[in-house]
Amino acid sequence: MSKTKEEVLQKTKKYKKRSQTVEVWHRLLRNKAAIIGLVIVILLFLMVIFADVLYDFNDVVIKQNIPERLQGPSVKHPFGTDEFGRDLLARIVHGGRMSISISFISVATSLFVGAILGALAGYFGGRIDMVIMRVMDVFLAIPPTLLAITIVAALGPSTVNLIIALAVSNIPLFSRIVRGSVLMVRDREFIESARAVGANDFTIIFDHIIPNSFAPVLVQTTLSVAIVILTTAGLSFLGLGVQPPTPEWGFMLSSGRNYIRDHGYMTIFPGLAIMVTILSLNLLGDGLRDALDPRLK
Amino acid sequence: MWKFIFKRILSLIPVLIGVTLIVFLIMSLAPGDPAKVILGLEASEEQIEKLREEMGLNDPVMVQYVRYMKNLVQGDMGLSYKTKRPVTEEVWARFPHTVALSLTAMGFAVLFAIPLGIIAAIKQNTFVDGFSMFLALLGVSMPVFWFGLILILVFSLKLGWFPSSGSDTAKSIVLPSIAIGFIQMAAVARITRSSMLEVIRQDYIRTARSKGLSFGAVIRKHALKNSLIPTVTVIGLQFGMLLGGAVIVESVFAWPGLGRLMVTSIQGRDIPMVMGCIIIFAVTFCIMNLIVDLLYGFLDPRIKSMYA
Amino acid sequence: MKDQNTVTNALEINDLVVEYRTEDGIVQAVNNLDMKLEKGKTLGLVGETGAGKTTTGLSILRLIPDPPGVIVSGEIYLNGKNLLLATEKAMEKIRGKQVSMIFQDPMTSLNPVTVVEDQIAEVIELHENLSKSKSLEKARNMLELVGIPGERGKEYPHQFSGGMKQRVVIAIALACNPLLLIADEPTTALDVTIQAQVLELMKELRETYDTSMLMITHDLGVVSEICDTVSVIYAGRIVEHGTLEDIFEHTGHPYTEGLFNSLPNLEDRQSKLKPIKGLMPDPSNLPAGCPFHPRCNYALEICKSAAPPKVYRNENHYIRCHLYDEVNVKTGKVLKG
Repeated sequence: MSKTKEEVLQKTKKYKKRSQTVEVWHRLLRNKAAIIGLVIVILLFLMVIFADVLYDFNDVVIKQNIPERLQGPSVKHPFGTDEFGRDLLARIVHGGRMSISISFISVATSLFVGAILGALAGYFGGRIDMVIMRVMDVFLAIPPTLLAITIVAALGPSTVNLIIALAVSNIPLFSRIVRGSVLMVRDREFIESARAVGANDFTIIFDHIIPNSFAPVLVQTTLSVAIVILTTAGLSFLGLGVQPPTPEWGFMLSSGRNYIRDHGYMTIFPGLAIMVTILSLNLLGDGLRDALDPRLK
Repeated sequence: MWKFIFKRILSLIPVLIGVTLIVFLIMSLAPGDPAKVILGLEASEEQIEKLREEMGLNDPVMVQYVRYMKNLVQGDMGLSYKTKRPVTEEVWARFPHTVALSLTAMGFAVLFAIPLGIIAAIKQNTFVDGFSMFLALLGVSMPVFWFGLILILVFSLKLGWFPSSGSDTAKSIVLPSIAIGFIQMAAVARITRSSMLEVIRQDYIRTARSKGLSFGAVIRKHALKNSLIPTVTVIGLQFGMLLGGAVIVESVFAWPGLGRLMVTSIQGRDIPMVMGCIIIFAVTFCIMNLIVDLLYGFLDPRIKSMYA
Repeated sequence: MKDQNTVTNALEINDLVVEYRTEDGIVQAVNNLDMKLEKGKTLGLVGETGAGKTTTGLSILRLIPDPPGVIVSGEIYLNGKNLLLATEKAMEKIRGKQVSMIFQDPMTSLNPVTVVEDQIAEVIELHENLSKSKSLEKARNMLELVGIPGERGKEYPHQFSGGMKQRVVIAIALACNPLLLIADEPTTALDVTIQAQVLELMKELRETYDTSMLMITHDLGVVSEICDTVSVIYAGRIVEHGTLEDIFEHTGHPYTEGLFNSLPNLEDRQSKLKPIKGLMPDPSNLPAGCPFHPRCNYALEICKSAAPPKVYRNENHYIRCHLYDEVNVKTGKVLKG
């Protein structure tokens, strides 16, 4: 008897999820700007994955080639060369790999830790909620870029420390969002009914609460990846992030600064790369937000 | 009403304590021995150990923190490792420059962003809306330091209209504040627009129109105040971004503010100076949030009621 | 019948067609709707959700959201003047002064950041050429009139209960003594006891001001309380119209019968509920012929292809249904009841 009841529950859950996902996907596809964003993001992804295939790291990206230094854009070097004669396009492609990997790892970490904290706070409420949220509030009282700079300042500049700093500075944001979603869902009737048929806390969190938090978290993740890429670039620009000779967009901008007068391309291209990446992520994030907005249904 | 203000100020104190604690704890993770740094390479083991005792560096972290706080409330942030002079002096000298830059940038941003956002919302889906929002999207997608460099390239190096560094002349503030301000303007314009669109959909707007008010009067008398509520919140959040941006922009333009000081201190491993800068930044941000909270309470009577 | 000059009628609507042109297709909200309301009387516009009631009300005020709404054709005469030909500036003078509307949800109808007396004074100041202080004075009087102490005028909407908020809305609507008041489900969002109070209030004010009223509702109970005549609306057109007695005692249209049958029978608790089978038709894809035919127990073959004409049972009562002709409509019951 109870088995069929569970089966029915499972079937309705799956059906609801599938038709909802399809609906959201359709709405996203109708938004032309979001499609452009999505396409560019996919292209960037591919670029990141195939970076090594396109340009060998040791030979092209970091090896110095003084005779060809400071050349403007040409057929051989579409974006020109830097002060060490290295092909700028190659460095931008690999720089992209750095930026995107770093931001993914740190946002994933923030998301993971933040979601756990937020879910615990929202679900159990009371003391646990208060303690966790007070701590998060304190962290949020420090501007995230500054917090990241502080952590790097303390631990010393390196890629690993950068990832740690970025991850920490984004945890409060995700915990807030997840907590908010949990609160919205926790007191709804269908949770009570789930409890009434005997589901335990664990099941409730996984089967009901997490799927419902999915939407705002997805949107925020997209936007956070964008912000983190910007912060990474900013910190590397200050010398506090990825260390040379590993290419990173922000760092390339800071070294290009010395040659800005006569070799403007060294400043323009890495910056454009950042801007296009952020733009596409923002378009995608905005589009996701609109597509997932329940009120537009 | 005063009760509301007082309560909000009161709730600021634990946050400030928490912030200083976190900053202190993070900085205490820094490797290296401050005593060694101060005394230099030739110092002997005993000298280093003696200085460590004097400075209280062997005490547990919490004790050191309390000591730091005791000094802090008396206005003493310790001595710079580099110059051996009080941190407070240097920090206070630089702080006004950062304030000037931030206020100019934010002022410029808000002044243009709010009307722009409102117009974009009213003329939704027209060319004006599409174009201005596209520009705004570009604005929030640009790294602030890149934008600053481009501004330098065009307006300073090629056209020679504005200086590219320092704060000598009145013109010096123009490029850095545009660099920061444009991006802030983009962000605020976007939220103003979406907030206004949200408000226009509300039932009370329909009620206002059914009274016979013209569309313009409805926007002015009913929509505007309501749409400012989320906008003000975002302005507060953006201020945090702005402070982060100021740190970087000051480096681009060699603007003698707190941000630049912080960066050079980090590069020079001058821990007390770094602490001092961060604490001032964090406190400023907290106070800014408080102001935003208070404004929020004035704009929305429902919030004021909650605290009355 | 035709020279009963339009001046006698507070409101007269002829052949109104309103569409919503959306990305997903054209929604036919109002389809050739006719309506007449005599001065000083109350007309109940009865139908289920989605039948086009609110759209009709908004059309009179010309507040249909555009895009995507469009008033395609028709005439709306307010005291003899065709509102659909008026300029926007002329409409601004008419709204709030000659025609007012109160909406369904009092919780969201008031501006949350303005005190209530200002919201009432606003409409007075706009139309009556009074100074700010005089308008406020009058606003406070209106508050007293609707049963709220004048001193509470300085409070914000969130400090009032739902029923009191609706009273404020009524105060705003009647402040300039309009010729016509359109009430769109004014009591639906309120508790039953409060409903009764608000209806009482509306009846009193109607007497005091001699206001003509268009009461939009799905609640037959409300209709019997306050209406003189009734128009039953289905899929954007009137399927039956008559006096209260005509509709309640001599129900003609199968849909109207269905509405009455949907009410639980308090006297016979054992009897089964008799809902109308099926669902409201999709307004972007209306059935051909009579829009009710898929759900009608009496449907004839002709109902599937031809829209039924008006058949008059007496001077006021007409029914749009193929079951009736000039003869049987006057004689006996056609419906099983």
